[in-house]
Amino acid sequence: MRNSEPKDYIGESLLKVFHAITEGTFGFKDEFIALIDTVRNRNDLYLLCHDFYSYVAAQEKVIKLVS
Amino acid sequence: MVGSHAVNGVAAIHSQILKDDLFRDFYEMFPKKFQNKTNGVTPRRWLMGCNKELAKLYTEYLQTNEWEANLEMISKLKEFATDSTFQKRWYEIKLANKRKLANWVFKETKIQLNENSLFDVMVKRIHEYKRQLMNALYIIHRYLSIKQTAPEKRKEKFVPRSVLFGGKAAPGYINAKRIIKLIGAISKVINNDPDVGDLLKVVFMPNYNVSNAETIIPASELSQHISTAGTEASGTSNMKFCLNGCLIIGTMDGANVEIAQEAGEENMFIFGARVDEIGKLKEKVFHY
Repeated sequence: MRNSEPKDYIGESLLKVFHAITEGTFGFKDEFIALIDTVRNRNDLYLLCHDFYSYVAAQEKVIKLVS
Repeated sequence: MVGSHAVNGVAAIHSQILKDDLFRDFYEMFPKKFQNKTNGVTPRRWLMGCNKELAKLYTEYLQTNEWEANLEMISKLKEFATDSTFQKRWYEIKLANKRKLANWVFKETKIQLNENSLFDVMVKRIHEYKRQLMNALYIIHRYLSIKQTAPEKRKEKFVPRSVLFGGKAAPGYINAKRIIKLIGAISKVINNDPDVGDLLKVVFMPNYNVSNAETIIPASELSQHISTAGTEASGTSNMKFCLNGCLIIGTMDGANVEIAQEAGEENMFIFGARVDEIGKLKEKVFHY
């Protein structure tokens, strides 16, 4: 896996979310880019991008239960 | 450690990490000193105090208030889980608590919450390891999905949800403050988007403290305890939410592990890497 794209690690849905932030959907571009840079540059100390997808799956279970 | 009579972790998983990793050398020298004392909360404040009506309901159905001193007794409530009268009364109490919280939120933030939406709560100190950022990114993900769905299909595809954050950051912790700022910015955009309406509301509740927690926790329906496995020593608000009949979405970390054992994994939404996978994963991330 060495020297491959960090994009493969982050995954499509999360890239879309990052894109919305870097586009300025929520304003304060510079500050929020600095914030997401703490997880998307091979420096994801708390494995946020890794767990994100199982988190989404768990949230789907919540939605199924309440709907 | 040398001078101490005993050394303890504050949850089973934490005590194990102390032995295996953090104090490994000391454990080799003094294996008998190492113990576990899982942290706890008092039902006096976190159930009888903050949710009097629910406590009354428990007493009525258990036909005694002995459970107040012997909390294990409330497991007997299981037999009423499918009793429709019990369900109805339980839900009415939850709804009254939600109204109380919605009023407080409106007073503080001028954001109007739908009392029939799912109250999804994450209140704790703001820290990267607790991953409020992951929740915030998920909200954006949800917002983008709502926007992508055709307006006439939104109602059937999405359940109305109110996401409530609360917590303070250490004064010099810039990333934690940025997380708060991001949540504030998301909340402004989403709450004012007519496409979204009641389907998603985001609130950052000001001044999270014990007094406010006594209003927030009884009103919660889903509570988030999503730290990276191996980082939360115990965590005790998960227990407070459990006492008040709230479901947990969480990782196998801190006291969540023991709650899953006690309440049953089927009653929790568990996800994420387990503690024994973390080392390998980190290696992979940093050398990706």
